[in-house]
Amino acid sequence: MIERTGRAPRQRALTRLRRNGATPEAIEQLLRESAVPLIESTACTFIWRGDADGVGVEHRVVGWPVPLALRRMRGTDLWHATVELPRGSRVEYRLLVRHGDHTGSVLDPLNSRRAVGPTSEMSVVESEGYVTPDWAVPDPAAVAGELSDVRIPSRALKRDVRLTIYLPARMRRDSRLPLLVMHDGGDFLTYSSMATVLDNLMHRRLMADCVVALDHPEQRLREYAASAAHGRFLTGELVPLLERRLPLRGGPSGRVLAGASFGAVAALSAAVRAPGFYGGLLLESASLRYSVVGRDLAAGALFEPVVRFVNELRAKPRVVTERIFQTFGAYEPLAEPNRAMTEVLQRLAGEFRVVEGLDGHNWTNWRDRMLDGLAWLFPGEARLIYP
Amino acid sequence: MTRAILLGPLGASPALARELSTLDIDGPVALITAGWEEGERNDAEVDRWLGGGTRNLGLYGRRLDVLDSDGEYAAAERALRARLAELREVYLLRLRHALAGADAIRRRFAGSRRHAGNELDEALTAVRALDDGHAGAVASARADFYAALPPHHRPVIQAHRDAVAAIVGECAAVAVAGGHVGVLNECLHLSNVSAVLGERPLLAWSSGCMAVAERIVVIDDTDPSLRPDEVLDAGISAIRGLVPIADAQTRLRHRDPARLSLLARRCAPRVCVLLDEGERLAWDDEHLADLRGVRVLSPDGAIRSAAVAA
Repeated sequence: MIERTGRAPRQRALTRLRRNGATPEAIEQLLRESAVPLIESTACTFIWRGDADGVGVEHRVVGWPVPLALRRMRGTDLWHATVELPRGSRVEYRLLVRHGDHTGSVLDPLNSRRAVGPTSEMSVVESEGYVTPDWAVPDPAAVAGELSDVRIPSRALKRDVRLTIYLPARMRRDSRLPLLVMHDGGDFLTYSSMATVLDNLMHRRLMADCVVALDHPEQRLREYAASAAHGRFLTGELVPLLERRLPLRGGPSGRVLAGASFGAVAALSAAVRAPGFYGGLLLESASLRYSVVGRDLAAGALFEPVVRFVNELRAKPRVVTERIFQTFGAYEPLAEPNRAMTEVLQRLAGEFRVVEGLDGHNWTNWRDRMLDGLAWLFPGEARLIYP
Repeated sequence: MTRAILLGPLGASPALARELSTLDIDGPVALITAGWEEGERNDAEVDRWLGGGTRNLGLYGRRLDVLDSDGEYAAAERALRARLAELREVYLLRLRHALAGADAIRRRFAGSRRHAGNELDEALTAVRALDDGHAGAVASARADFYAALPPHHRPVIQAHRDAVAAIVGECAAVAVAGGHVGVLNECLHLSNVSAVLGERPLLAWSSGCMAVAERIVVIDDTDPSLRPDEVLDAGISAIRGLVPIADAQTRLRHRDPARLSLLARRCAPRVCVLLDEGERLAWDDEHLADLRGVRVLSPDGAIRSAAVAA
């Protein structure tokens, strides 16, 4: 077995394999006894076995070669590549296998850990120290909140908008709860176990009970791209409607917008267009593209409104909300723009917190940051409860 | 004169009956488990540990009944809760900055030959002023609330207060369990428990100790929202001169002397007492009667046995 301790073994598994003779039986034994990719301290070794003309790792980790080419161990059908992966990291990837002119993208057949997103399924490698948070898995003791779908007409968006409303299990007649509006809410429910996360965090009182409106976008790349119409929908239609119909606290401290990637841009843009209306923002891996001079041609046409919006924000930052929680994955391409925007975001809020996860631009990373973000934006009462 | 025994969180089978016997009482014990909220009546085990025959005052249930029965009071109380939440939010915001200021001064002089004497004292004074100001603002908000809606003019509240007074009147001691310290404190105030205690001895444990003190100070280094050590509210002041810090083993993780010193000096002249499982403090109005085995925070940031520090 590969040792999974904090100390690196004296020799890595593949070195021992080579030294002892990489026979088919020895390779079989190694793969039978080891989790793949091999994690040895901070070394991560990707492995593929079979005949091919080339094998690589398809990934979005800034700092690793793209694609990460695997080398064939001489005299064997074992392909491998070793890269550094710090403790506590998590990376999603696929394998690229080339036969002649054809390259196929496949899940790692030696690794059963998977992550499913809206557009693809990925293999997952977790380094030592990464643990799925216990609040992200169903807890039989936690009473589930109530989810219901509604459609509301929007003049701003010129269409009916579908939302899923989450009401917490402890909701009482006299409750006056804060409201969280989540962009890409349907995807958060499906790919980030958002209902389970909310159930558990509220049950454990790590966050305050709140009502959550989960948005299902239809024209996502247009409506979330710093669109004025989307801001009018949120501020002029959705929030007032929900505050009339549900026992909500109202006021800036009772309103928080959240989103990931383009959804985070939509949240930030809506708050900037309505200064003082929202009390908090949860921005995960925000697509904060900007240009220092000229246009950001690499970003493409879809990003043009975003680049204009972010450029204006950088030129004239002003306070628009009470709290901003910013998070992103250290390995994702958007890490650098997010780091660069930290100072600007700080100037948009009374209080600011940033957390960098050792992960990428994906739904599991955004799930894993929820405790930090939601507990900070909606402080719970767990600290008042003693044994 | 109030006599009391304060305990840390209870273990698997605490000797509560033996603790009661040291108080030399003759009669049943009034039990307060309001901090357990909806679980208030799940008190069979504690009743057994106390020797049986306890009378649960049902303070949490009484509070719910008041809120259900007296709509005007419930609406006003909701507004009070919102006001207190706002006060707390602003206090915590200012407190973070004040504590960061004190920390910056400490670090500024850490490598210097000159000791940060006056500068640190002034930073500490600013933090203490915030604590005192917040405690005063909370007291003032409560005073305004009770002036507008005198509880003794509210029939439902008065009926519950009378019932509580009658039960306590038949009891020889009062036991206060832990749980949600904020809810427990609200319930103690609403039922005016401090007014009916008389000279009955108190046996309190965990956050029960915090709620019977003058000032409730909450510490929690595991808090995911990173709130600093805070003055939450005034307790019922049956115990004076102490700030009980319950469950310190779990909650007080960062024990660097600078932090502990600041905490001790923020709370002075009250003494911060750490109460973990198995620890006890016997107290009376006149003096700390039995300090053996109790740990306190010293102004220099050390955790010492109270016998040495006193």
